[in-house]
Amino acid sequence: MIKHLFTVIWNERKSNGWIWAELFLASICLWFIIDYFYVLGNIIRQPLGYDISHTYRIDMSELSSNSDGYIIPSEKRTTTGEDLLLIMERIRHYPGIEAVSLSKSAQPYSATGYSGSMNYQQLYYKDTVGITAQEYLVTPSFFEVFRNSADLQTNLLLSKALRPGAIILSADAKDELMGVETSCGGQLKIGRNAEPGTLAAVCSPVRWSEYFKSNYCFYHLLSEADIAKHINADDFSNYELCVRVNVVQDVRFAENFMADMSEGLKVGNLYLMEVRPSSIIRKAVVAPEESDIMTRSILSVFILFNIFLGVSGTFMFRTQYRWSEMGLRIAMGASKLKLCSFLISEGLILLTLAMAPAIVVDLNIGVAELVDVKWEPFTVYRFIIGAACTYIVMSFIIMIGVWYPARRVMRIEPVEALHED
Amino acid sequence: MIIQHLKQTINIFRDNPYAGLIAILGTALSIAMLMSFFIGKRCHTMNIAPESDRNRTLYVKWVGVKYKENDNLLVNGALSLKTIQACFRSLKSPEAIVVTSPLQPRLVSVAKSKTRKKAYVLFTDDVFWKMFHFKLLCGAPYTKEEFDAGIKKVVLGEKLAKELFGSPAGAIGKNVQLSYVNYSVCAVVEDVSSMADYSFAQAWVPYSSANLDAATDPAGVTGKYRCQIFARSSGDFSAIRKELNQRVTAFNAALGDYYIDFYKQPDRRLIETWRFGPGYPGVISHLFSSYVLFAILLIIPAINLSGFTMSRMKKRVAELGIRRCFGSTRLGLIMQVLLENMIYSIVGGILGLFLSYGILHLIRDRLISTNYWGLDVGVTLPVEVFFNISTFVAVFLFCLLLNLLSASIPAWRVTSVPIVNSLKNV
Repeated sequence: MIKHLFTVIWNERKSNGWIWAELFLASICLWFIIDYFYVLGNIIRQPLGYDISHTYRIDMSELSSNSDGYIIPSEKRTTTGEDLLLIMERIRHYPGIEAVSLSKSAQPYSATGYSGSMNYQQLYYKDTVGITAQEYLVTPSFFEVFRNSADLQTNLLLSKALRPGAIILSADAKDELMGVETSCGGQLKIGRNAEPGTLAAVCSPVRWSEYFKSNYCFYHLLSEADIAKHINADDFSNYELCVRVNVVQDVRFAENFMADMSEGLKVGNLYLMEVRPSSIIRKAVVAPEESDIMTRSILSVFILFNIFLGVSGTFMFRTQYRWSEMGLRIAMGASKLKLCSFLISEGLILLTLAMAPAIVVDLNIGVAELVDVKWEPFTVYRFIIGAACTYIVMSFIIMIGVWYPARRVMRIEPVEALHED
Repeated sequence: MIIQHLKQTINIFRDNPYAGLIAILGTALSIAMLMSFFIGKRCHTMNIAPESDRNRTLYVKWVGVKYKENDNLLVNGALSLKTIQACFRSLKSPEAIVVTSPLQPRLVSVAKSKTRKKAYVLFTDDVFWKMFHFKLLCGAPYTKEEFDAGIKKVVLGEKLAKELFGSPAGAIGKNVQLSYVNYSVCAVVEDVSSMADYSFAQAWVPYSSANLDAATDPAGVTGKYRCQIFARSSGDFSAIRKELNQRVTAFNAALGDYYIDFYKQPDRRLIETWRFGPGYPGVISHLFSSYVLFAILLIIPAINLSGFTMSRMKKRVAELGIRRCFGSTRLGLIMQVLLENMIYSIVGGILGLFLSYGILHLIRDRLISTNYWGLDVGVTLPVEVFFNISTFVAVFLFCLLLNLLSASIPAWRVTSVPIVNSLKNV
C-alpha cells in the first residue's frame, strides 16, 4: 500500500513539488511559533518571588514653592525622611492595613529594565571571584507586604532576620556564590573593600516579571535611622511606599483611602498624590511583552490558517484534476472509506517527506540560537517537543484540508467519473 | 451585464459553498491583518481632533548644546523659552507657533470636598486654543492678555469637570486646586483621545502660571518646552526650514562657546512619531520593514487563495470555451473571471475590516505614543481612526491587489486552454 502511495506521489511529482515546498516552509514557520509558545508557557509557570494581590503603592509628592501651605526650607524643622516616617505611622493605623513598607529599587514590577531604577552590587564570599547581584534596600515589613514565599511563617522569619548588617540572599545567588552545601551565617562583602555582613537567611529567587528569568539578588536593611537621616527632598521620589491590605477590607480601597487620608497625610511639604493597585504598575511593565505576545499569536493564527488554505486548496484542485482516476478506482472495487484514507495517507506521506528536511533546518536554527534563548537554553528535549507538536498540528491541518475534497470524491458515481475519459 | 455576473457568482458559490466560504474567510483574515497594521500605523499620523492640522504641522522637541571648539556634546534636552523666542517665535513664514510643556500629574482637589484625584495637566500658551480645534462645552479659554499676566486659570476636560462639580456649566468660575495651587475654571472642553499626543490632557493651564522653567545648562538653551510650527500649507515646509536656519545661525553667533543642534528637526508628523530620543530615527528601515510586512501579508494569502480560484475555474473551462466560440475575446474572459473573483474579495474585505477593529482592540497597548514615556496614560482610539475615507480606500485597494495576485494566474491559465480541448468537456 505504502509503496503504491509512493509511486502515485512520484508520478504526480510536478504538482506535488509545489505542495511539498509549501509544507516544507510552513512547517519551519510553525515549528518556530510552537517553540516560542512552549518556552513562554514554561517561563510563566515559574514562581515569581512575590505576591502583589491586595497590595498598593502610595504615591507621595512634594509641594511646589507657590502651593498653599508650602514651608520654606529655612523654616522647616523636620527632614523629609522624618516626615515620611510619620506618614508611614499614620498609614499603619488606617483600617485594613496589614503591613506598610518602604523600599528603594525593590518594588515588584518597578525595579526592572523598563523603569531603569535598578541597583547592582558586587558580592564576595571568602576569596571567590564574586557575583553581580541586584540590591533591594527594604524595611523588614517588605516581606510581609510582598510575601517572598507562599508560606506566611517564612515571610515573618525573613523580616525578623533583616537586622542591621544582615544580608538576605536569593537561593540561586547563594548556590552560585557559596556552594549548595553552605548554610546561613557566612560572612559576605558588598563590594571588595566593604565591611562584611552576615548571611542571615536565604529567600526564593525573584523575577522582574512573568517574562524574565530570575536575577541574582539580595536584600539589605533600610533602617528607620537611615530613612530619617538620608532621605531628602531631591531623592525621596526614588523610594517606594507600599501597603498590603486585608483581603476582607480590600473593597474600593484606593478611593476610600484617598478620600479619608488626603488631609492626614499632608506632613511637612509632602502630600498624597495617588494610590495605585500593584496590578496597574504591573500592567505598565508587562504591556510591551504582552502586546508582543498578542501580535505573535495573531500572526500565528494567520499563518496556521494560510497553511490550511494552501493545503486544502491544493488538494481540492488535485482531486478535481484526478476525478477520473478516482472514478476508475471505485469502478475497480475500491471502497469509499478506502479512497478517503488513501487521500489522507497521501497527504501525510507528503508531510513526512517535507518535514524530514525541515527538521534539519529547524535544528540548525535552534543550534544557531535564532530561537528564543533568553528564557530557556535550546535543549534536545525542547527540540523534540517542538518538532513533535509541529508534526501533530500539521497533520491535523492536512486532515481537515483533505477531508472535504475527499468527501466529494466519495460521492462520485463511477459511471459519471469514467465518462470523462 | 454586472447583474449577470453577480447571478453567476452566486450560483457557483451554491455549487461549492465550502470552498467559497473558505476563500472568503482567507481574504477576510488577510485584509484584517493588513488593515490592523495599516490603521495602527496611520493613527499616529492622521488628523485626529483636536489636532486637525497635523499634515501642515512641524514638530520640535529636542535640542542639543555642543561646544564650538570640538563639537562635543554638553547636554540634550527639551527647549527653553529663550531658545523658542530666538529661533521660532520670530519666524515670519509660518501661520502660528504653539508652545507647550509636556504632561505632568497633579493632584486635583476642591475646597470643602473630599474628592481627590490625580489628573494629567498640560501647560500651554494661548495660541494653543486657536490652532487646536477643541469642542468647547462652556466658558472660554484663557486669552493672550491673561496668558501674558500669568493668571491662574484652568480649562477642564468634560469627565473631570463632571466628577468635581456635577456638570460642565457648574464648573465655570469655581476654584480648583492643582497640587494645592489655586486655579479658577474658565472653560470646559470635550475630552480628547490620548492618540492626540500633543493636546491630550485632563486639564490645561497657561504655562506662564506654573513657573516651570529653570535653565539647566550654562547657555540657557535647554528647558521644559516643545514647539509646534503651523505652516499655512505643507508646501511651505522648506521655506520655514530655510528661515529657521538663518535664525539658528544668528542665535549660535550670540551663544559664545556653544552652538545648538536641532538634529534635523523640525520634523514632519511621520518622523516625529519615530523620534524617541534626540538622534535621527532610521526612516528608511522603518519604511522598509512596513512595506515588507505588507507585501508578505498580501502575497502569502494570495498564493494560497489561488489554489481555490483554480479549482473553481477548472469547472468552468467548458463554459468559457463556448463563450469564446461565440466571439468573446480573451481579455473579456479574463476580465469576467477577475470581476467574479472581486465579488469574493469585497465580501471578504468588509468582513476583514471589522475583524481588524477587533485585532486593533487586542493590540491597542502597542499604539501608545512614545511621548507618554513613564506616564500611565491608557490608549483610547477615537471613532475617526476606524471610519474615515482613507481607511475605506485602503481596504478597497488591498482587496483589488489581493484579487489581482490570486486570480490573474488562474484566469490566464483557464483562458489559455485551446477551444477544442475545452469544448470536449461539454
